[in-house]
Amino acid sequence: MNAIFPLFVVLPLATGTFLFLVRKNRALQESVSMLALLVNLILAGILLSATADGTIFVHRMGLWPFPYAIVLAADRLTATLLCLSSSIVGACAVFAGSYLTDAQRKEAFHPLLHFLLMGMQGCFITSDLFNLFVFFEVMLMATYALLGFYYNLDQLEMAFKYTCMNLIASALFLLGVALLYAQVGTVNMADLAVKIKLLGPTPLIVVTALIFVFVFSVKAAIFPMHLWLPSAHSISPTPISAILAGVLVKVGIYSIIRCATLIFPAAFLILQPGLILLCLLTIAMGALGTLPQTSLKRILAYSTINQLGYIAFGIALLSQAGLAAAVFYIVGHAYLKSAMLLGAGLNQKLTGTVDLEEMGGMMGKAPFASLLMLVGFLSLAGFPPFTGFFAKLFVLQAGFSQGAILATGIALGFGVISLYYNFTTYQRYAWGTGGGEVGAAGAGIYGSVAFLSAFAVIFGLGAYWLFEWAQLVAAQITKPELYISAMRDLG
Amino acid sequence: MLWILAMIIGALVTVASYLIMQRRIIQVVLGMAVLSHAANLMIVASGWVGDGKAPIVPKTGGPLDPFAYVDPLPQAMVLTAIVISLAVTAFLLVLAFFTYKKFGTDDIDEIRRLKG
Repeated sequence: MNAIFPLFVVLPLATGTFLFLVRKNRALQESVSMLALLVNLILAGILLSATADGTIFVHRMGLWPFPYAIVLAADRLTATLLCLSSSIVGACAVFAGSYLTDAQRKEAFHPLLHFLLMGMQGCFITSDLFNLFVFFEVMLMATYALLGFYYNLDQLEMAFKYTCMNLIASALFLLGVALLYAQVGTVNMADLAVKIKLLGPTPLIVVTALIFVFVFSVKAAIFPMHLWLPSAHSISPTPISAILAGVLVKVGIYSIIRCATLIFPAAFLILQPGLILLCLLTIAMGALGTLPQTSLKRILAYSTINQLGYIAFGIALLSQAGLAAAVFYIVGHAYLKSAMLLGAGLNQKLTGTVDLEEMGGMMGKAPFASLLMLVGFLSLAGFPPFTGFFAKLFVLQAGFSQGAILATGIALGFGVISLYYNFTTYQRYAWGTGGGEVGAAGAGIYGSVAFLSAFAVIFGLGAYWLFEWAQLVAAQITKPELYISAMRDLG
Repeated sequence: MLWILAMIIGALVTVASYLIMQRRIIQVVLGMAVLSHAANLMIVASGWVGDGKAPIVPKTGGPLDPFAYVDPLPQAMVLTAIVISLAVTAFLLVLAFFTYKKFGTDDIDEIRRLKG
C-alpha cells in the first residue's frame, strides 16, 4: 500500500496527458476517462478499507530520510476525502457525458477534469506544506480554465475575479511558508508540528497561523472571502460547479483541519474566539444571501456558504466531538450539494432555465426530477431522516456540550432561516406558476443525480455508521503524535 | 544585507497593492506578477543565514560552521514558485486579452457597464 498510493497523483496525471493526446477521438477519450475514474474510485476504496484499522501509510518521495523527503501520507481523513473526490468527480463526468450538447463539448474538458482531480488528490495526500502549495496551484490552474470554459462575457469576468482572488491568496501562502521556514527551518507537516510545539505559540507563530487561515478560507469560502463563490457556482458549466461545491471547497476545509489539529494547535486555541465569530458570520451571510435570489444555482451557492459555515464552526470548536461532526458534515454536504447542483442542471436541461420564476410548477411537469430535488431540499433544510439533519444535530450538540451556548444558539437560529429558504425555494420550484414546455434529459443525467442523491438518504438512515466512522477519523486526527510517529518510524 | 531585502519586499508589495487597485485589467495583471515576486523574495530571505556565504563546501573540507552559509532549500522552492507564477501570469494575460477582444476595452468599470 505504501508504494501504490502515490498513484492518486500519478494516475490522473497520466490519464490527463493521454486524454489530451487523443483529443481528436472523442469516443476513445470519454471511455478512457471513465475507466480511469473508475480505477481511481476502486483504489480509493481499497485505501479506505486499509486505513480503517488506524494505519497511517507513508511514502517518502525519492526515499530520502524523514524530515528531508517530500512525504506523502494517508490516514483515515485522507482516505475518506479521496473516496469523496473520486466518486463525485466520476458522477459529474457521467453527468457531463449526456448533459453537454455537441456544441458545448470541448476537447480540453476531460483532460482538465483529470488535472483538477490530480490537484485535489495531491492536496489530500501530501504532507509537505510547500508541496501542498504546488498541488493547490495545479488544482487552481485547472479550475481557472474550466470556470471560463466558453469564454462568454459573464464567464470571462468571473474567471478573472476568481483568478485574481486566488493569486493573492497564493502569494500569501508563499509568504506564510517563508515565515514558517524562517522560524523553524522545515516545511514537513509532522516536523513542523514537533518544532512549533517546542517553540510555543509565539506572536509570530500566531500571525503565521492567521495567514494560513486566511489563505485556506479563500478556498473554503469563509467570510469575508466568500464573495467569489456565488458567481463562480452559478456561471460555470454545471458539472464543474458541482465539483466546485462538492469537493473543491472541501480542499480548503481539509487544509484548515490539518492546520488546526496538526500544525498550529496552540495558536488556534488563541485564535478560537475570532474563528468562531467568522464562522457565525459565514453562516449568516449564506443564509441571508439566499433570500433575494431567483436563480436556483445562486440559491444553492449561497446555501453552500451557509453549510460551510457550519462545517467550519465544527472545526473551530477544536474538540474531538466538533471535528467528528465536521467530518460527518463534510461527507454529507459533499454528496448532497453536488447532487443538488447536478439537479439544477437537470432542470436546466428540462426547462432551459435555472430561474425559479420561469421554471415553476415542476411537480406536475417532471415528477421524478422534482422528487429528487425534494430529497435534496429536505436534507438541506435539516429535516430528519436525511443527512442534513444529523449533520446539523452533531455540530450543535458538540457546541452545546462544550459550553459555547451563545455561539451555538446563534448557529441554531440561522438554521431556522435555512429551513425557511429551503421550503420557499422548493415551493416556488415545485408548485409555482411558470410556463414553458418540458424537454427530455438523458439517462446519464438522471442516473448521476439519483446516484448522488441516494447518499443523502443512505447517510441519513445510516447516520449511525457514518458518525461512528467520523468519530474514528476525529480520534485519529486529534492525536498528532500518531501522524508524527508514523513518519519518524520510516526515517 | 537582510534589511535591503526587507526594503525591496516592502516596496514591491506597495507597488503591487497600488497596481491591483487600478481600474485597468492590464495593471491588475502586472500587480499580480509583482506581488508574486515579493512573495518569492520573501522565501529567499527566509533562508538567509549569517553573512550569507554561498552554500558550497570548499575542497579542503574540514569542520564547517553551518551558520555561515545560506540555506539552499528555499532557493530550490523559489524556483518552483517562479515557474508557477510564470504560468499563472501567462494565463491571466490570455484571459485579459480575451476580455479585451470581447469587450473592446480593458477598463473594469466599463466592462461592468457593458455587461449591464
